[in-house]
Amino acid sequence: MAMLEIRNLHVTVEGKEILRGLDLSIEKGQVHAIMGPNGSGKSTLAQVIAGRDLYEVTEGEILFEGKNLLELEPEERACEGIFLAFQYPVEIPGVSNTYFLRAALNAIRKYRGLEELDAMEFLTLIREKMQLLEMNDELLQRSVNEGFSGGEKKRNEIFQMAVLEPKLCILDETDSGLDIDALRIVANGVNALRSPERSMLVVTHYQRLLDYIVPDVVHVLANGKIVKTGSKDLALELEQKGYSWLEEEVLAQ
Amino acid sequence: MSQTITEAPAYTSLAGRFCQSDEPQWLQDLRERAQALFAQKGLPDVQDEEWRFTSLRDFAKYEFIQAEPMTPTPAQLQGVPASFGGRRAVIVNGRLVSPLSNLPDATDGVEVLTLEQALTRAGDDVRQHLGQLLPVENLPFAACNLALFPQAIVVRVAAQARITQPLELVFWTVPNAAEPIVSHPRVFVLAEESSSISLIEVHAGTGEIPYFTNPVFEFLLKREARVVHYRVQCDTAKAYHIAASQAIVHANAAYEFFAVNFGARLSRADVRVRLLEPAAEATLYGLYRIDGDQISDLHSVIDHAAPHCPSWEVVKGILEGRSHGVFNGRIIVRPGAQKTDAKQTNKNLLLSRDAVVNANPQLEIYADDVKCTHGATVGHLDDQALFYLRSRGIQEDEARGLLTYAFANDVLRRIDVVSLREWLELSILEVEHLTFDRGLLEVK
Repeated sequence: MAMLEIRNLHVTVEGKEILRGLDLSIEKGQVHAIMGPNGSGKSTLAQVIAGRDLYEVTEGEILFEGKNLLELEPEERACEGIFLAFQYPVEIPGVSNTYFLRAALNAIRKYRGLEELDAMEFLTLIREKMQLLEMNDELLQRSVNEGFSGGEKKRNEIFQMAVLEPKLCILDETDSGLDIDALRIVANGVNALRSPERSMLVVTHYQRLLDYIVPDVVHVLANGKIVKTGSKDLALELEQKGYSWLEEEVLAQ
Repeated sequence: MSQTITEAPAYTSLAGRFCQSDEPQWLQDLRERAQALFAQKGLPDVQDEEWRFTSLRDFAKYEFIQAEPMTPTPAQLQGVPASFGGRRAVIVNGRLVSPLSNLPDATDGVEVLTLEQALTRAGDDVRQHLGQLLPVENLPFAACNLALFPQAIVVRVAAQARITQPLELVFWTVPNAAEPIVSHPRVFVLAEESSSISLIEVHAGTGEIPYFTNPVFEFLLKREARVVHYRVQCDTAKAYHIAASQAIVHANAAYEFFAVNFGARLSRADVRVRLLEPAAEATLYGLYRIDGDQISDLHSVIDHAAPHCPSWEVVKGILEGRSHGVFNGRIIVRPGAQKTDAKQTNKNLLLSRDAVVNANPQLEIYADDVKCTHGATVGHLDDQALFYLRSRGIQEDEARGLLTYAFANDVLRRIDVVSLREWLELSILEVEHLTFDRGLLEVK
């Protein structure tokens, strides 16, 4: 059984249909990339899996380890092991990164029947994870994402991912707004988290990120559907030819 | 609808009692004028522009009588906030209780004095300013305080003295079961040249009986003095709290004020700061967190009377239930107060459908080379932020609590007295049903 199974997914937002019968299946341990032109529905897909209620699922289903995800609240999905690295991480002035992260980790541990970590245990854990993302203490003490640069925000997302150890990581345009150094750090962090037990869905507009995070499967999303699926070479082809040839191909079908 | 003081027999009898003949003539004159003023104007009603949104209809049902001096039992002192690490004066029902206090002595550089003592130590300033820094013409309750206060407390910070420990003034009310009581705390803070102090003013009480607290604080900051004034109002849910304060700030002096409001059925504060000489500074932070039928009304006036003065004001309100918040922020820039730099922000967070906010910035600018900005917002918790927290596994209730706490903490984290800040953070976290963890809360 696939870790994530999406069947015939239709999603509308404010009456407009964004996803129009999307099918996707991700096996445990695999990294899938979803590419596609702007407005094709990539970010919508990422947010719908995580449970954003702005979007209405009108048809189809999403199964995560056999469970019907659409019946679960966003926090339950997180506790089940889904993590969305946001394209635009939210700033929360007044709550420190550490307080936030510990509240999240303990909520997830509690859900899974594990003991909550006390402050000392928690700090030991996060120090270790911080090295992975080359983060310093000062960022931890600051308010969540407040005053962070674009790169720091994205690094913070992957850092949270490292601490929360999800089963399915969804990276929504994680490369946007990153310079080459920040991209390398973020990609290294992501690669360190790759494991046979963990799946990833990497949503991106550009092939660049996939030089660093090499996917097992590449899908092209256009007009609310997966129109082509292939190996990592598909990404290179898209980079060279752009998306328009695909759209023509789809129209010709 | 409105009831005047003269119609309430309790007020008139008290007035007579406290215009004592052994007081200095200047004070007797002030009291008589104030009493006449209050008798003439009576309680304000909603026709009064200054009281448009805050009705005293419920308040007027009570005839509050002045509290008698009393010695509280230990049970009656349950709930008095623990020390914040400084010297403290404990004032019960409007009167200083020495055995409960830990007053500074002269070697500390700050003194807590009675009026008699103050007249011998700083006679000119006291005679010239006490009861006169805050004009009471448009403040009926401050007039009432001036007419009736039984005891003035004078805090004097010696020139050049840099007081590192905060001075705490704890106003504790033990209501009377037979009749609702009123207390009229009166404090005059005299910060001499180049002195520096943090003053914590706390209002709280016990029991389920309505009471009324009517404090007036006057501050005189001489050149280069610095006063940080923390005012925490956590009176009981049955209490009425109507406060007024005035700070007069001289050249290069800085007055920083925090007003934190959790308590009282109805609370009103008139906060006035006058920047009298060049490079005087004012900073005002306000935070209120109310629920149920509570009303919290803050009227501030920052008066730029000299050039090159900055002022900064941030007032945040969190409202739940059917509570009602009022913010009226007036900034006056007098002719000649060039290079004024004034910024005012008012943000309100509504946690229920029935809560109401009236926000009213008032800029009166009579100089042409100034920078004045203001902004007011009223809104709900941000959906995007809520989803962000929930997508990390945090339950919806907790996420709401955390965001509400964050909204408040934006003000609280600016408090320098650690013990006070933690106490207030804890209070907010308790309201939001969150757990407190000192090691993790620090936000830089």
